[in-house]
Amino acid sequence: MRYTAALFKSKVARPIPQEPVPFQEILPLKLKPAVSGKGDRTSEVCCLQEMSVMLACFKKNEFSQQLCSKEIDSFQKCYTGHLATKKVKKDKEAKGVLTPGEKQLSSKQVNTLLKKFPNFK
Amino acid sequence: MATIKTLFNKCQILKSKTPLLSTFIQQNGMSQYPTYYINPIYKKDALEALIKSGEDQNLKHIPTRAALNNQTCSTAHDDLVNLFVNYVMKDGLKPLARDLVAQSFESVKRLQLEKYHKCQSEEEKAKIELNPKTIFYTAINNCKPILHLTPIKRGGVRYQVPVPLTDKKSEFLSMKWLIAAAKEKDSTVRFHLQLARELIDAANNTGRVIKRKQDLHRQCEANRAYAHYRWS
Amino acid sequence: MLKTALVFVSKRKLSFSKVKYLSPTANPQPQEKIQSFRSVEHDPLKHTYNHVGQFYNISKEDRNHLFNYGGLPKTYLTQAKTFNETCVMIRQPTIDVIECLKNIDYAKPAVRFVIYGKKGSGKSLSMAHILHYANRSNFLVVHVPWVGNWMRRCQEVSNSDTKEGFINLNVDAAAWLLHFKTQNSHLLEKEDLKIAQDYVWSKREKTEKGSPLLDIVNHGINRIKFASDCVVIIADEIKKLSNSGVCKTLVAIDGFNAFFYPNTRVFTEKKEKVHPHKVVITEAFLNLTKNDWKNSAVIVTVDEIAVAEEDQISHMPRYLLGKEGFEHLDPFVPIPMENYNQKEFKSVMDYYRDRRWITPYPGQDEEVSALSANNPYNLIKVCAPL
Repeated sequence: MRYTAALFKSKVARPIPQEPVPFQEILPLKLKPAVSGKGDRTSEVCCLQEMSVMLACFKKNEFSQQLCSKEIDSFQKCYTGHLATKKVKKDKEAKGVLTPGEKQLSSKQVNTLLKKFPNFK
Repeated sequence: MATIKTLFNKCQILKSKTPLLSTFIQQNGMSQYPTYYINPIYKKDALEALIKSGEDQNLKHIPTRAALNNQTCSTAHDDLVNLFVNYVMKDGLKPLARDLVAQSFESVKRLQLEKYHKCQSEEEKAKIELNPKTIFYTAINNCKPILHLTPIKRGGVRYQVPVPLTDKKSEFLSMKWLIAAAKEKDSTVRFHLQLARELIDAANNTGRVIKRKQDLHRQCEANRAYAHYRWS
Repeated sequence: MLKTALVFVSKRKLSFSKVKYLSPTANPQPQEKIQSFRSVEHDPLKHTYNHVGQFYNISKEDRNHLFNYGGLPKTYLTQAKTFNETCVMIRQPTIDVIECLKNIDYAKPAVRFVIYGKKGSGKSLSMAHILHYANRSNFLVVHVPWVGNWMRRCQEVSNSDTKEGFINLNVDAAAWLLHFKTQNSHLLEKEDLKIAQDYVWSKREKTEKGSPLLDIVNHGINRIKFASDCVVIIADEIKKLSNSGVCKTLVAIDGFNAFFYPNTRVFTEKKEKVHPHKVVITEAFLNLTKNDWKNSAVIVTVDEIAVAEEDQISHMPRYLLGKEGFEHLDPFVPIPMENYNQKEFKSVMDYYRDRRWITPYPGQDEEVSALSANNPYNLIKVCAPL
C-alpha cells in the first residue's frame, strides 16, 4: 500500500507553518505616489443599440440602404460622435487638465493631483 | 551614472539653443522640406476665400512647399478623382493610371450618351446623368460599406466581429472594390471600359460592387451576436 | 436628328405658352433656338465663306454612299456614333478648294491641290467635305481613303503576271474597286461610260470594246486575281473618257506621299522591301495625278502619319513627297490646313456642349484651348474626360 505508507510518513514534504506566521517586509509599506493607467481600460462598446436596429432594418429590407437611411444616419452620427468625444477626452487626459468637481478621474489626472499634493512623512 | 548626468546637462545647454541649430539641421524624414514648411494652397477659390477672410496675412511670410505636379488650379481638377488615380496606379506609372481613368470617364460618357439618344421622350432623357464626375461620385458613395468584419480573439477563439468604419476607410474600400471589379474581366475587354460599366452600375445601385457591399453587410448581420466583443 | 431638334423646339413653345405675360411686349416670340455653330445649309453645293466655322450635317444616305468603305478617320467615326449624327465643320481651306472647283476651266489640264498640315488638323475631313461636294455636283470620284493602308499594312502580296518584277496587292485593290463602285454607283449605271479598247484577261475571259466601265470593275471584284490590273485599266479608261468630255473626274487621294516613301511594309517572298513604284496599283494613281488630261481636278493630301514614325520630321509637302514626288505634282496649289482659329474653336465647344459631350465649367474654353493648342484632334482628346 504505497498511499498509506506515504500518509504515515512522519516528515511531510511541506512543513506546516507555525502560528503566528512571521511577517516579512518584501516591499516598503507605503503607497506609491502614482497610479498606473491599467484600470482605465473599460470595454464599453458604443452604439450597440443603433447597430442592432440598423442591422434589423437591413434584414427586413433585403439590404437596400435607401429604405434604412434614417437608421444608418443615426448609427453613423452615434459613431462619429463617439469618436469625437473619445478624442476630446483623450486629448484632455493626455494633458492632465483638471476640472474642479470632476468625479471620474483618469490616471493622468490622478497623477497630476498626487504630484500636486505629495504625501510627506 | 555621473557621465550620464553630465551628458544630460550638456543636452540642457543644447536644448536652449535648438531653435538656432534647427535652422541648420532640421531633417523631416526623407522630405526635402523642413517641418515648418506649410502645404501650398493651389486652388483658386480656396485662395480667394483666404484673401477675403484676411487669413492670408498670417501665412504671408511662412515658407511654403511647391505644389505637386498633379495639383493644378484648373476647375476640372478634382481631389477624389486624383485619389482614385493613385489607387489605380501600379509601379508608379501615374501617366498610365491617369489615362486609364480619363478613358473610363470617356467611356462612361459614350455609354450614357448612347442611352440618351435611344430615349424617345424628353423626361426619360432628363433622367440620364451625363456628367462622368457626378456618376463617379455617386458610384463611390453607393459602394461605401458601413460595417465590416474584423477578427477578434476571445477565449482562444477568433470571432468575426462587425465593426463600424470611419468615412475614410469606407471610401478606400469602395474605391478598392470598384478597381478590383474592373480588373475582373475577360482579357479581350479593356480595363477602362469595364471600369466605366462598373461605375455606371454602381451609380444606379446595381452591379457587382454593390452586391459585394451587401454581402459584407449580410455577414455582419449574421455575426451581430459578437458585436459586443469589439474594442470601444 | 433634325426631327429630334424639332421636337425639342415644340416643347419649348409649350412651356412658353404656360406662362402668363402681363404686357404684350414682355411676351417673347417663340423662335427656333438659333444655334450659331450649326449651319442652316446642309448642301455642300451652296456652302460659301459665310458658313465657315459652322457644322453641317452629312445625311445618312450620303454617308453610306460615300464613306461606307472608308474615308472618315476612326476617331471621327466614334465621335459621330456618340453624337448620333455625322456633322462636319465647314472650314476655310475646304471652301477655298470648293470655290476653285466651281470656277476652274475644265478645258485646261487638271489642276492639282495639295492639302497639307500638322497631324490631326483636319485634312481627311476636309477631303470628305470636298468629296461630298464632288458627289453632289456629279463628278466621277476616284477616291483613295488612305494610301497607307496599302503601303504600310497591306493584306496580301503576290507577284504580277503581266509585269515582270512588279507586285500585286489584289485584295486591297478589289476592296478599292468596291469602294469606287459604291461611290459612283449612280454614274456607272449610265450608258455612256464605255471602254475604248479590248482587254483579254485569259483564254476565255475577255472584255470587249464598247462594253461599260462597270464590267471591268465587276470583273476585278469577282476575279480578285486581276484586281490590280483592273485598277490600272480603269485609271487609263477614266482618263480617256474625261479627255473626250464624257465625264468630269475628281481624283482624291489621302496620304498621297506614301506613294513616294521607300520604307514600305510590303515584302516580296524573299522578304525584300518593295518600293512603292514596284507596286502595280501605284502606277494607276500616279497616272491619274499627272496633268496631261482635262475635265478633271486632283486633290491629294500629304500626311505625316503615312510614313514611318522615325521619319515624321516635317509636315511640309517638299519633305513628305521628296524630290521625285514634288516634281511629279509640280505645279500644284498648296492648301494649308491650320488649327482652329478663335471662331472655329468657339463653334466646336458650343457644338460639344449642345451634344452634351462636355459639362461646362467657368473658364473652360480658355483652359481647353490652351491645353489642346487648338488642334482639332488634340481637342477631342482633351475634351474626352471632361
